[in-house]
Amino acid sequence: MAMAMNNSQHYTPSELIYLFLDGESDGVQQSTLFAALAHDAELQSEFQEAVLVGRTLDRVRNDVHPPQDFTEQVFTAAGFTPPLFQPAPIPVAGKWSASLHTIIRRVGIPVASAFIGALTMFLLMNTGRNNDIVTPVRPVAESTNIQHTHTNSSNPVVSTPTHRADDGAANTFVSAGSRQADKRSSAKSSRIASGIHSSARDRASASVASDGGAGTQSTADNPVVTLSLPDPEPQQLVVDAPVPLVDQVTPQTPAQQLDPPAAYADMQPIYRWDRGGNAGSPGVSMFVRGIESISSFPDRKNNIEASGSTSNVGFGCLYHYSRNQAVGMEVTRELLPIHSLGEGDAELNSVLLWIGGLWQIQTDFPGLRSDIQPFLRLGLGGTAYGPSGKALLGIMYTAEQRLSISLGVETTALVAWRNGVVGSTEKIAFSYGLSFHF
Amino acid sequence: MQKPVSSYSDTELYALLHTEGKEREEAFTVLYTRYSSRVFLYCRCILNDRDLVRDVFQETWLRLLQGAGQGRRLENVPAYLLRICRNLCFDIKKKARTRVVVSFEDFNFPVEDNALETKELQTLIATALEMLTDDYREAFILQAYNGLSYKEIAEVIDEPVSTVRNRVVRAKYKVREILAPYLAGYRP
Repeated sequence: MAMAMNNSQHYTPSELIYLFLDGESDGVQQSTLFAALAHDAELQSEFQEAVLVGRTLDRVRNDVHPPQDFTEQVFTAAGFTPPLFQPAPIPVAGKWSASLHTIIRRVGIPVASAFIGALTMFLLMNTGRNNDIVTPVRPVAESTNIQHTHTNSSNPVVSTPTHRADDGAANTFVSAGSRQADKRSSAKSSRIASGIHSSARDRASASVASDGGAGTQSTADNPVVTLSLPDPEPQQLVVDAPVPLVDQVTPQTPAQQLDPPAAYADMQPIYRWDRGGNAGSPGVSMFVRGIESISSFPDRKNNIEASGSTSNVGFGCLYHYSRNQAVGMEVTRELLPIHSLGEGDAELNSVLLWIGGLWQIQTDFPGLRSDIQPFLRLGLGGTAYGPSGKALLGIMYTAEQRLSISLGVETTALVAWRNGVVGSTEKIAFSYGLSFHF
Repeated sequence: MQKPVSSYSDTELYALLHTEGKEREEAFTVLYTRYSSRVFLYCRCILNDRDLVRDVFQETWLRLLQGAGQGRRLENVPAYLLRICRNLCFDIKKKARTRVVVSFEDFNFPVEDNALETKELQTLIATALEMLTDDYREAFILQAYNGLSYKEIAEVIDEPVSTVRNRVVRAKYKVREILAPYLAGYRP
């Protein structure tokens, strides 16, 4: 009877799809459907969509359970002991693999993207280091005389006759070798040595002898700097090298440089700037910031209501490897609408976890107070949907040595991969934050 | 060796509800575990008020117990449960004299660990269901959310199978038509 009724009904091929998927179609209907599917691309798409909707409905059917308070009320009213409602048992293996899949899906891509971002930032850091840091004493092939001398207690700083540097017009050369000369020129030497990191300064002594120190060949017009290192014992390395004033550094070409001797390995670099305050100076800072969406584009609507105020928050840390540059990492939770490309452009207002590596540069700006610095922060990372990049341009006010406030405008670009379709998000937002320096 | 109650058929469990003691409670618990989601889903889709859903959900299970007390044999327990639930829902709708609309915002099922796409698609489907007539929506819910066959649906709503078939197929076709602009981005 049922079959007869089936056959008596006339369904379009589109409607036959649902009969087939529901397992209610007969042989004739299946043949009709398959014949139509074989040469109708639109019907094939329709079939795929019906399968997708069916899967979603299956998920709802399998995953939805009545709330626990409903269960308790029913059992109490029936005079039974309310059980702890146990949904249909999930096989352990399936549960674990589902959890693992969830973790990989949600965390794997951001972490992988962040690793790539951090690696890029690390390479940037190493590339930028040579241009920003001045090595205090660098042997130069044609103007440096390195000599190992024995050190004794009566003459802790031994200076051997050194040659005059010929290229000292712009630089000041001093000579060392006696404590007397050291005392006479303490003021000037401290000026020079002030740029040396404390660990190096503790071990190295510099002196000025504008009238020529004992055993030196320098003259008043051409003072020579002698830096002597107590280590390694018992021999001492004495370097007569032209030490440029900090503000007069001229980068040397690779051809002029020599590999520093092993004794210099533990010397710390001098940072070019030494302005007061910890903000931006070498060290670590941690920051928290809020992100307020302005718009996403092109021609997209940004549903602000879809995300609570706590959804647009970022936390991060920066390692300031120089006075004006830093690298670090950041984690944000923010609204990043995802758009599908192509027909039926669907918008997904999603609050996503973003993890990425950061590179930051900040600098003094003419006309601004010294405690206000513009900065640019670039981020490379990703979300569960794909890689993403950020650029934040703003100003930072160092209110106190360990505290600074930042305000800026951030742009974000996200390439999303969703159900085999590549989508994109472009977003612009305000950023405001606090940084704590250590 | 006696087999555990959890392995009993629905009919056996329903018969146990007529007894007294621990077995009755166990039988009820097993039936509840098997079909509470279906009943809840149906109430949730038809009614839009949490308190109303709670009342109907509770009353459905109590009426199951009362019916079992009469000692009659029941072959299709889930269909029977859904018929009770359906009658209760329609009583409420008659009293309200207004069409119960499934709210867009209030249609989020508490599905755990769900992908964003799935959640979004659920919301879209729920929105599309709002646009169906009551008959079509009910047929869709019973088939898609409750997993009933056309024949079982026919038992629940007391209509011929051919009518059910038409309603389910046309409801699904209409839902797909409404979702078509959005489904392009989800195509697997």
